[in-house]
Amino acid sequence: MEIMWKLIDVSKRYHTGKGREILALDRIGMEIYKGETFGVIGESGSGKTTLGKVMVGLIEPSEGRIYFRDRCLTGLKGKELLNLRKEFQIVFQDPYKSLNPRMRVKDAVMEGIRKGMGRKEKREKVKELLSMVGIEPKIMDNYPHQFSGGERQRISIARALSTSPSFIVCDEPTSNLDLSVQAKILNLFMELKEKFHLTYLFISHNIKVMDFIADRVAVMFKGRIVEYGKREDVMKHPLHPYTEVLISSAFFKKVEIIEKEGITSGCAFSSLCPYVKERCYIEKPELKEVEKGHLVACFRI
Amino acid sequence: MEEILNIKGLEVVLKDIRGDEIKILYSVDLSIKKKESLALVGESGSGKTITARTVMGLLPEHMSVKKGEVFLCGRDVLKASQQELRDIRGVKAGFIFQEPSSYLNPVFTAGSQIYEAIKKEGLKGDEKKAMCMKVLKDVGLTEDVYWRYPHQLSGGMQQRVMIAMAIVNHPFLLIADEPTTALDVTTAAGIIELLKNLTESYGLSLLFITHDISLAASFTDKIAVMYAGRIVEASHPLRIMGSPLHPYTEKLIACLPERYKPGERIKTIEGAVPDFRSLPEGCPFHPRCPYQMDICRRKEPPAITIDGFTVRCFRYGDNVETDRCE
Repeated sequence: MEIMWKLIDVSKRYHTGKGREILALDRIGMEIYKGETFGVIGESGSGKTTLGKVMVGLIEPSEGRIYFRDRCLTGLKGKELLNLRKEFQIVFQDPYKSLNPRMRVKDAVMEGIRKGMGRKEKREKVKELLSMVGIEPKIMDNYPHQFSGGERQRISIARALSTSPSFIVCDEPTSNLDLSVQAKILNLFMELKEKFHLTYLFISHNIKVMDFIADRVAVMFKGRIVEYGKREDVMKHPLHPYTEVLISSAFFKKVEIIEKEGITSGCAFSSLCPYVKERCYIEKPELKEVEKGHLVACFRI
Repeated sequence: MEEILNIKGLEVVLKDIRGDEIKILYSVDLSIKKKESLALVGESGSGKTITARTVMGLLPEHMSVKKGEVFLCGRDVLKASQQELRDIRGVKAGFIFQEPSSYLNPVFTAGSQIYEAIKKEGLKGDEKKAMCMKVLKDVGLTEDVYWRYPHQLSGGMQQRVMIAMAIVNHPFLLIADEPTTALDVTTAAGIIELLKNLTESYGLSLLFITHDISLAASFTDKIAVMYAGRIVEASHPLRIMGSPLHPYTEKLIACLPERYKPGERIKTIEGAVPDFRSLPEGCPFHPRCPYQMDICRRKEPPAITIDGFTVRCFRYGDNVETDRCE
């Protein structure tokens, strides 16, 4: 399979003042193949969104290199970056916040369409994009507040498609929606993927959705990928204790998590881990391949 | 068993700017027994929150009750005066909301807000404080949370503080309006576990509002599905998940992604939730219903009880017409 993205030791630090800093991403290394849906699960604050934003270039990574189709994105500037950026897009979580309330729907979608097209051509293209995502083109002159949550998310998707990208980051696109609307949006994502041969980075904290849509899954905890591999492997045979907790809590079995004062030099999960050993407090475990294509960062394995 | 909450034929209307009355709750019947938990399930705008707010006498100004009765511990809430309502809120029934961060006051400590919620009179400060400490322990928090401000607490801890405030007066009923929607899966699981335990240890009845039918089915005793201001089906969770009666329930369950293999298309519900101002004639679900019959377009289906389960659909009971139109 063709590798589309390659991340090597990507970190992101935020300075919180007084010389302290937070590691939002801690040496992320992963690959995304062309045409797959790569899922990222984790709780809020685990760095899922930061990862997505770093990949599409909305946030500059502090360290590490990001390769997109064998081209290094870090350090790329100007026109080159601009041209490359059309290849990847992002759909945000909250459709109420991610659409400009003062922009008509057609203008929001039109922004991404290539220059050099005539006005009429552009309008036709907007119509085509909107009908593709299931919005009637005749209401394209309306403002975002005239649409429901599900419709707005469709508009966001149309906007993302306007640059004809090959890769889309879906940052919790269904978590603000009702069940019946979520089902429709998930269907739409799958349809578009087949139609345009898209690759997705699908971020969600909903394990049930992930179990349904993703081909491969990465589990994040406090800025690190603790486990990643094929969906079946990760969901059915989780190896990392955190993945176990996450999956069992999705199906509402009893989970005991008591947050103790963490010791930061070792494994981030050590303060919560039921299998903790002395070594976990001192060293950080690295991602190791356990089975083919199934990687885990835990000393227990 | 003793009935804690009993709602009979409740109808609520909304007055719009022109002064027109729009019906947003239509003949809602509900009852919750002691220590029983009932989940109110439905999409946004189906009337779940309005039902809960009516119980607390917290309807917004432009909404009013047209018909019906709401009995809380044998007292009609709708006939209560403002003074009596104050005794009901917190003492008879507690309320927790979806987003704890917007309901806690940021300038007071968590402890002082629980302290303030204590309604029992004739207690000394020390005794009240001891009550706070006990209730903090009961919701799974440590005592030092008493001195902490809301911004120093995580979302899950804030929700626990909200629960502490709601149960400090040992109410009979706890109304939880989407308490886990804003939380992470692991935190949400903890809150659900806590609510389950509280129904036992505090003898609470629970009215749980959610849009996640599989979450509701995982721990409640009864589920009532709402659509367009009506309870279209009320039944046992296992029965609802296994063999739903109403076509809307059936379709809603079919929307759950975990019921499909990866790569399959989810069977969605055609169309959208109708606007209250222009509800279709007859059964409000008929334009989206795959089983619609002639009668559905003309008449509103009455609530029928089959083996103790209620459903509003012409396919059941004596009303079944043989000529089915597709």
